Amino acid sequence: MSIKSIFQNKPCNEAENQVIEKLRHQANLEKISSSQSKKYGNEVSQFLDLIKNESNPDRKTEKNNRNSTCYLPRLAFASFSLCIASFLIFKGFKKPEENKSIQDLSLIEDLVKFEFQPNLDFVKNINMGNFTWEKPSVDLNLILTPIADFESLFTDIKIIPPFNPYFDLIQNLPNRLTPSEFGNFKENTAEEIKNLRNSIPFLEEIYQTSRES
Amino acid sequence: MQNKESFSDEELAIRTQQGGTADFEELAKRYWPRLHRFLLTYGNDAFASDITQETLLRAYHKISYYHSKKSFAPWVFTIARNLALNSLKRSKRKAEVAMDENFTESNPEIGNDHEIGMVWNKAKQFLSKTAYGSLRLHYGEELTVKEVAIIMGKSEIAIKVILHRSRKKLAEYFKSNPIKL
Repeated sequence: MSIKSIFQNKPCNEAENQVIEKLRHQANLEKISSSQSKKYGNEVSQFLDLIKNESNPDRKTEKNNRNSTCYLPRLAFASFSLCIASFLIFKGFKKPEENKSIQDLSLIEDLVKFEFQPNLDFVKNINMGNFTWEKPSVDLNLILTPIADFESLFTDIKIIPPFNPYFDLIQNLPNRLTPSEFGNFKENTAEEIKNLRNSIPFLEEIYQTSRES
Repeated sequence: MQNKESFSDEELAIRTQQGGTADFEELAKRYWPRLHRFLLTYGNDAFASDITQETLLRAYHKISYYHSKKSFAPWVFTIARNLALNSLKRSKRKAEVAMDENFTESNPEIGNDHEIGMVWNKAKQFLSKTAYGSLRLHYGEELTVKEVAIIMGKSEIAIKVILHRSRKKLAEYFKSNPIKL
């Protein structure tokens, strides 16, 4: 009985029916009294005056202008934030300067490559003090090593970190060179390279061989 | 020229969308007392007047968002309810006074018998805000259960249950305390 009355939204008994009648009756009385009420009349007329003032075209233009100027600082801030974000994201992909000699650059890269070949002992004599290296802000080894250790507890496969692309696996040295950070070397590049070639026997020959291959 | 009083609420709202401020004036005259009575659910007379004005002002500014195929009353009552609840939240934060969902007889915000009818006044004392608001919209403003559900942000079944419980509670009270209309 009760569930049926709920679904049909009807009163269960006479007492509830009377309550609904009373509620409706008093609501109608309120409606009649409110239509004659001076209080409501005054409030409505005040509100209508407010709307009329707002719909005045002069006020509208003034308001629109105010709104448009409000957005300028926000737009400027948004643009600035976007620039900063772009700078931070693409900083690592900086291109080398165009006026830098391509040949010199390739030579430097070759020299660096030789340095990391463990079998080429003689290359260790090259003074690499003038080079600078791009250092990663976070050493991924610190994150990956504990993960790999934890995983090896459950499997037979030994995972050997690091996976960090910035580090050479064998010598644990940085293997990424930033051309823009050649700094001191760039100033007298040609002379420096000439000195290097002269100081190391067979370097010229190796360089030519690698070029031809 | 057709008299504005002969237009339905929806027609007036559409005409306001097309730029008729005078049409909205007619809507304001129709809805001011209705909204005011409903907003007495959430506070006293001054509170209801403030929120009524804010509601109609908001409705006027956002009339472009009104969907012409839907009923106007639920749209405007929903704005009123949201504004009232937001206002209560703000005042709650400011005053740091805990406000119970259920009204009690000692609540100073309750209007007296002159402000609202005695039966409604008793309903306000014994029922929660949601129940009183649902009762007011359904039996006072003659809105359908579906429209009440939209306004109160509940399902139709939930509103039917709330109405059933409210009727039962009031019937029990008036059984022991009979009143004459």
